[in-house]
Amino acid sequence: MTEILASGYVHDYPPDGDYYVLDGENRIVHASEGSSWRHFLGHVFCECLPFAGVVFRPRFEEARREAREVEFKAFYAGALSRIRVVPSGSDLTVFVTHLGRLNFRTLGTLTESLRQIEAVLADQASERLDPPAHGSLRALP
Amino acid sequence: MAVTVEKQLFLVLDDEYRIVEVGPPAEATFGPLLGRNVFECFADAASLFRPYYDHARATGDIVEFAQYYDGYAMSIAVQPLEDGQLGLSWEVLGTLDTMTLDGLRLSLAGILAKLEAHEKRTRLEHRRKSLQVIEGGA
Repeated sequence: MTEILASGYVHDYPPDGDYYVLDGENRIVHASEGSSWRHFLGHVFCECLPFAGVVFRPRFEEARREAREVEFKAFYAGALSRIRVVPSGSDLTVFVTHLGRLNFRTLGTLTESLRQIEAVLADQASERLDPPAHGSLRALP
Repeated sequence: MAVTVEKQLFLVLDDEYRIVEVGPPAEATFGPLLGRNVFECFADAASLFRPYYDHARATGDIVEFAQYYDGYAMSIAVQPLEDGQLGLSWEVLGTLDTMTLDGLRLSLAGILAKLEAHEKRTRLEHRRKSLQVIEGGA
């Protein structure tokens, strides 16, 4: 990510992420000091953040269902972030590290940063789609 | 306003691109910038807008163009006024949706289509005017 941050984005976020905690009904019950999620304490996250349900919910449900940590990158509200979801019972602690922000000032900066974001997300998608090869397949000529 | 204009002007710039008048529709954004050079207030805007402003000033004609800047596609009219001033008015053609990647792609495609349609229309109008000049001169 370093070269992406250097080449295209306006990166005015702190390097280390904030976090928030969702209860079993996806209500934000705790958020790190100074984070914007504190405004939404007590609210269901996808009801106060438009389209957040579509972008994040499937992976949140995956973490809860499989009772394991899930990490992914996502674009939301003009920013690309790395999200780490740590389940604890039905609660989820969601760590968010902002990697860069879309630079939409001109069509040139917009298309360049969109291209970079799409490349990052495409890499992630291909990592998920390419499971390690089976031993038997590796043996084929 | 020094000159009677057809459209309501949102902004008047002096000959050094300083904002000298702000109309009610632009008050919220440009009101606090009164007296400042418009290109110093909006990064990267000079190369996108200034050639059209200079053309309007040089020819004395109203120049209309479409441009994208900072999440908005706009149709902009530049009208030369007295003393090298320029009157600006604009209409928003489309806005960028940065909430999700799908929304972003869709809204960008819409913006590009609108800019292209505007450019096509402008080219046709140019051609029609040129033909009128040729026919009038024959």
